[in-house]
This record gives sequence, structure tokens and C-alpha cells, in this order.
Amino acid sequence: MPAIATGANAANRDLIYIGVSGDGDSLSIGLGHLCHAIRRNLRMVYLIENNGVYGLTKGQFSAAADIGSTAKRGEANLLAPIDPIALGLTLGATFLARGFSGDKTQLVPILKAAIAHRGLALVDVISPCVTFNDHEGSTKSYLYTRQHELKATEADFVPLADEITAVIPPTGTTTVTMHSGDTVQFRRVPDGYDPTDRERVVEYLLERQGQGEVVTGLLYVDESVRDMHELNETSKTPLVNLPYEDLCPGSDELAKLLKRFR
Amino acid sequence: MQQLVAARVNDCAIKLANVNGTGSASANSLLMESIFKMGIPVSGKNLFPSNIQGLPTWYEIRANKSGYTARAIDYDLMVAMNAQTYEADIQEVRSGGYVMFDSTWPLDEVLLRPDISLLGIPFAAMCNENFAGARQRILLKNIAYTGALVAVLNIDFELVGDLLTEKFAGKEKLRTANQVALRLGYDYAREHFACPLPFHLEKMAAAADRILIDGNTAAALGCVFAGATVAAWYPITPATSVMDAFKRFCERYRRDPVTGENKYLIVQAEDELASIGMVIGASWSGARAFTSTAGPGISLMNELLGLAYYAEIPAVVFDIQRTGPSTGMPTRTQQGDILECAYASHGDTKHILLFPANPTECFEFAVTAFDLAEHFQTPVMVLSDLDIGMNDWVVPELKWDDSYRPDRGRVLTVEELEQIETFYRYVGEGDEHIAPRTLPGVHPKGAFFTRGSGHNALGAYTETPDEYQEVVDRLVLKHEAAAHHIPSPIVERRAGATIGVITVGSCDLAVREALDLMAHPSAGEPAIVTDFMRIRGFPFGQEVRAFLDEHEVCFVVEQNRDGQLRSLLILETLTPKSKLRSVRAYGGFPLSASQVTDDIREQLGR
Ligand SMILES: Cc1ncc(C[n+]2csc(CCOP(=O)(O)OP(=O)(O)O)c2C)c(N)n1
Ligand SMILES: [Mg+2]
Repeated sequence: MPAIATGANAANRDLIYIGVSGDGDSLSIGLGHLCHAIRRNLRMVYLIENNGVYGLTKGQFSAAADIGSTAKRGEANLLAPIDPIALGLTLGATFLARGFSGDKTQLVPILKAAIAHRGLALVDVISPCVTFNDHEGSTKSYLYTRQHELKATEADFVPLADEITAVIPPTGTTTVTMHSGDTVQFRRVPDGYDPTDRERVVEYLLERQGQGEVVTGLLYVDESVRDMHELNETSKTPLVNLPYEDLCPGSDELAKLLKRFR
Repeated sequence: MQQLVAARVNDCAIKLANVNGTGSASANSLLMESIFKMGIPVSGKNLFPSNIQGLPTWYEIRANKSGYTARAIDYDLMVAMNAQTYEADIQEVRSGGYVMFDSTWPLDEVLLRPDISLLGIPFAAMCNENFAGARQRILLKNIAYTGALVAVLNIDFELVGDLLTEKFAGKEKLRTANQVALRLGYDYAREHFACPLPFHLEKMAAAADRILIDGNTAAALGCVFAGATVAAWYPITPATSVMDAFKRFCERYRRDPVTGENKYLIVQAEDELASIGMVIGASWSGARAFTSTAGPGISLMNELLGLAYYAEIPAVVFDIQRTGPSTGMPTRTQQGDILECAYASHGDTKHILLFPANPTECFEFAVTAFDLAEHFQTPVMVLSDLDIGMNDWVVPELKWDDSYRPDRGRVLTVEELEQIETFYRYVGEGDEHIAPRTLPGVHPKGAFFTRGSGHNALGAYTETPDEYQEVVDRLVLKHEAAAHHIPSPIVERRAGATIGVITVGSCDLAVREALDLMAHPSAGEPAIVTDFMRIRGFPFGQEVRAFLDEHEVCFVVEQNRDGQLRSLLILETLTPKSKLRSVRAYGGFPLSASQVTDDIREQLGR
């Protein structure tokens, strides 16, 4: 998926790209592609619908399953999980968020901010699979997520146009201005959580996850990094819109060039 | 017993045996370029190992006034600069031929042959005496043997000197050292041997409008002229130089001189799964996009090639074939990906293939590939190979017609979309069965769900047999319709011929030479007169079928073990299997005419 999105975006930088994938597709078969899309800071929203299992093929553990989490038939997962947020932090991701499909109030502003982000916005959405992974013993069930969720931030997305009419944010907020001019305001839930301080974020997440907690919110954001097109200095006009006459050097240039091959 | 070869002008084959990584490659191409600049039809084949330093490497030069420049396998002169391979190298020289070697060390007597002449030159001693530093001495030894060859073959000394000057422009010290080395070899040969040798070279006017270019450079240039803007790739021999060249040309032609903005984007992908994915994404968006790879990459691309086929998305893939299976011999040539490409991916898939035979066709077919991919909304694979892609070929100057405009296929415009009630993606039109497509972001009415999963003509998900079959059956008709747009085969008929010889790609020159040799054999051999057809694309068109029908027997000459082109002809035409005989050479080196004549004569028993 991210490879195809990379090509689409390469050709037409004016569109908004939203990719939806599973935890199986993102963290196993497509892990390499996810990593490299992050490294390229491809401007897109990459949404993982994370249920900890391969749902479609009927309940095998995915690489997102926690050690000890049990499958529907009772067997426990023995392998260490791949956490997409932790992964993103080591790969230089510029936007990392975790939401919960059971909490729309938190997720909607995250998605809006993700779309406004200049680069790849990875949103890991804990999405319990009601058929294969919503039982007792699973760490990706509704119940488990509800009981262990820890909101690191609550975010409000304030589009540029609405700025003036927006409600004055409560105290204790951090405001991040997106490249587009829109702003995201974070209410820091745990004291001192700063979604722009990568080292602190890594430390905090490791510590909390060690306690079995599921940290949610817009966890990390950096708007200063250039996206794929900025790095490439691609023309502002999307490549698909360049007229052919702008692209073909023509017969005179060919003749000139071929002198060097004589 | 010394045999003398008859005097021959502009007809000789030279092989240079070197050690990889000693800088011989640039000396060898300097020689080849000099002969080219003398106007003589010439070819240079680099037979190199998959290694950075130490293994044996060879370079073959064949100059031939009549234009027979396929690989020769009997050499008039061997430049034996690699002691590891002396024994085998000396055996390869034709009776009456010559061996030039470094006489700083004596040659082992067991290696001597009574029927060849030795040209011993103390290259190492010469370079140790005149130059400092181990690396420099090794490099200049190559230029010294170049100088000696200039003398014995009567290559234009001044011309070689000029080329060196050009090459080392601004590097005065290097230039001087190279000129000195050239002169050392030249003078030594003139002093010690009767120069030139009986076979030697003289200036010709034959190749006036000719250029010297490799197929990968020509293919990249074709992509620039075709208007490709997105390229994605993963490095692999022998395809890498396609992208290297594309990048160079884009830097030259596609960077806005005022803003510095790039009118192209090249992504070095993480693997070939990603590179083909990127090509598909960009083509889906409406850009002309391509990738270049070799067999191992095609293997990885299989799944997504099926997506592009089934979802009907253009994609252009250059497969610069090398020797398989698996890693195989990465630096050796083969035509082993024909079947893999024709049916790449699971399920019923069939692709459009183009088979260039030389750099000119790499340039032209690059453009054709984009036109076909967009016209038929499907992957098009251009099957070049290492011999075409990485060796320098003498070809007529490439031509460009400024009236060319890309065929973008049936893409609905905003106006067209406004006219229609509802857009359905997979409804075929006319006798080509192409379903108009839309590009993302153009008009809300054009929106649809692109899916690789089962779909019906309306573009909706389906698991209903009839609905599913309606779409895949149309894809077959569409593929058949493409036969009318594929470059037609090159057919040459000779009076009285009942036998046909069919070939493909880089076999071209060797096969043509072979047919001439069989039609006009040396004394004692019966003449065999044959017709010739070189297939240039798949699906096969009417002309291919007609040629097969017209001949009682056809030999299919190709460079793979299993006779893949022959299999494809059997599968895709009504020709009986028994009619198609196979001639195959697949050891990894370019084909030579004698391999073809020997095999055909043996099979015919004459
Ligand atoms: C190349 C390939 N291998 C295997 C499959 C089979 N397959 C389909 S979905 C799936 C797992 C998907 O898991 P996940 O991404 O977590 O999605 P979920 O069904 O849980 O939403 C697999 C292995 C496939 N479609 N393609
Ligand atoms: Mg899943």
C-alpha cells in the first residue's frame, strides 16, 4: 500500500493521500514498505487498524500481539510485539498517534491533524476484532483497552480558517502549528508530556507500556522535516499536470546530445 | 611450424584477457572507440565477472567491414594479460593467430603452440621504469598494451592520442603519463615486430552517421523523450545503468533553469515489490512511470504485475535479462525471462512484451512501451539483455520526430465526465475492448474503487461467476487487440527457401551472419538457404503466424536452456510442435554465428 501511495503522490502532490491497512499487512508482509515510507516522509495518512490478529485469515497472531496475549482458542503469543509507534520513533517518523476505535472524540481531531501534517502521519488505531480478538486474555480487546488506556494528550484541531472563532483553549496546553497554518492544541493529560520532545516521548512510552498501559493520543509530532517532494525539489505543479512539451527535449537537443556519442 | 594468415583489412577479432579491477576496462573501450572513429563497423563485448577485483575478465573486439559484428569466437589476436588464464586464452587463438603478452616474465613453455606467433612486450618492466606508484603502474600497463595494439593493428595513433587528451582534460599529469605509456607500447611494437600484422585496420567512411551507445543509455533516453516523470527502481546488475542514465538526462533536461525545480522524481525503492508498486501508483495517477530491473526483480514484482493487469493500470518495466535461475550469473547475458514475463503473476495473466535487439530499438521501444501501456492500460515489459544493455553498439544516429505526441489512452476528461450520468470503470469499448479510465482528483464523478479483488464490469466487488468472467474474458480480447500495435517482426525472405529461422532480441546479428554463412558456405559445404524472422513483441500478430504457416520447418534461435520463445510460439499459435526446432545457446556469453550454423547443420545432417 505505501509503495503505491508513494507513486501516486510522486505523480500528483496536490491530492490528499489516506492509506488504511491492517496490523498484519503493516507489521509483517508490508513492514519494509511502511519503514521506508516513514523514512521518505511521504505526505500521507497511514492508518493501521490494529486488532492484534490476522482477521481475514481467521485469527492467527499478528506481529502486534503482545507476549502472553491469548488467541481465541487459548494459546498464548510467545513472540515480542512490534509497536508501530516505537518503530516510528526510531525511524524518524514525524507524526505518530494512537487512537482507539471506541473513542471517536479523541480520534477525529487526530485524523484531522494527520491530514494537515507535512509528511507521513502514522495513526495506530486499536480496533478490537469482535470475531477473533475480543475475548478475555487478549490485550487488544475492547475491555482491555478501556481498562488500560492512558491518554497522553487530548488534541483539538483548529483549522486555519476557524482560528478566530475557536474556543479559547484551557490552560496547560501546547500548540503546534502545522505546515498548512492549521494548529493542533494539546491538553497535556499527564503532567509535563511534550509531544515534540522525542527523547522524552520514547522514555515515557517505554515506561508506560512496561506497565501494560495503552498510551493514546497524538504522541509525537515534528513539522520541521521536509517531505518527499521537498527533499526532491519536485516542481510545485504536480508532475501529472506538466504538459508533454515541457518534458520532451526535442530533436535538436537529441542531435546535440548525440554528438558526444559520435 | 608457423602458419601465416592471409592479409585482411578491416576484418579481425581480438580478445583481451585481463584481471578484474586493474583498470583495463577503460583502455579496452578506448581501443573500441578508436576503431569506431576510424569508421569501421565494430563491436565490443565485455565479458566480466560478478566481482569487484581479482577474477578474470575479458573484452572482445570485432571489427568487420561488412558489418558482421556479432561475437566472434575464433580470435586473430589474444592480448593475454592475465597469467591465471594464459592456458585457456592461448588455446582460443585461431591457428595462425597471435598472442601478445607481458614478456617481463618468461612464458611457460608448455603453453606454447607451434601454430601461433608470440608478441612479447615487457609491459611491467616498461611501466616500472617509467612510472612511480604501484596503482599507476598497473593502470598504465593497460595504456601501454593499447599503444602496442595501435601499432600492430594500424589504428590511427593521433586519434587515440586525441581521445586520451579529451578524457584527461584538466588533469595534465594524468594526461601526460597516459600519452607516455601509449608511446612506450607503440614504439616497442614498431621496433620489434613487422607492423602492421597481416590482418589490420584502415580508415573507412562506412559509419559516418553512426553513434556508439549502449542499450541502457538509449532506453533511458527513450524514457525522457516519451515524457516519463516518475521512475522507481532497486539496484541490480545489469539494469542499474538505465536509471543512472535516466538521472543524468533528467538533471540535464528536466531541471527548471530558473526555479531549480525538478520535473521528475526518481525513487530508489527498498525492493522491487515497492518499485513496481510506485510505478503502478504513479501510472494510476496519470504519470508516465517506469522501473528497470532484471529477472530476480521480475520474480518479486509478480504479485503487483497481476494487480496492474487486473485493475488495468499502465506500467512500464525494463527487464535487462541476465543469466538465471536464482542469482545465476549476474554479469552474464541470457534471454531467460521470456516465459516469466509473458505470464507474470498468479491466475490468468498475459502481458505485452517488447523485444529490442539493439540500442536503437531500446530507444524506440521505450516510447512504444509507454504508448502501449497507456493505450491498453496494462503492464508492458521491455525485454532487453545484458549484451544489449551494457555493451557499446555502433548504431545509426537516433532520430526523433517532433510531431510525436504520447498516446494517453482512453482517459475521460472533465467535460466527458460531466456529460455522463454515472461512470463505470470496467465497461469495454469497440473492437479493442478498452474500458475508459479516470484519473484521481479530476472530477468527483470519475471516482471509483480500484480493486485487485473480484470485480464486475461496473467496478463493483463480485464473487459471481458470470460477472467475474465477463471482465477477465474482456482482458483476453484486449490483449489480442494489442497484437495490431506491437512492432511487426523483421522478415527477410530468400528465393527458394523452405526453412525459416526465427529469432529474438540480441541474437539478431549472429543469426543474420549465420544465415549468410549457410547460404554462401566455404568450399565443400552445401548451401542452406533460409528465410529470417526476428520477433519484436508479444502478443504475436498476423505476420508471425503467416511466417510459421509458410515454412515446413522453422528453427527458433534463442539464448535460454528451455527454448522459451519456441514454447511461447507453440502456446500462442496453432503451429504444430514438431515444426519448430530449437537452437539454444545459454552459457552466458553473447551468441556467435558459428554456434548457430553448427547447430542447424547438425540438425539437418548437412
Ligand atoms: C501475498 C499474500 N499472502 C497472504 C494473503 C492472505 N491474507 C489476506 S489478509 C491477511 C492478514 C491480514 O491481517 P491484517 O492486516 O491484520 O488485517 P485484518 O484482517 O486483521 O484486518 C493475509 C495473510 C494475501 N492476501 N496475500
Ligand atoms: Mg489485523
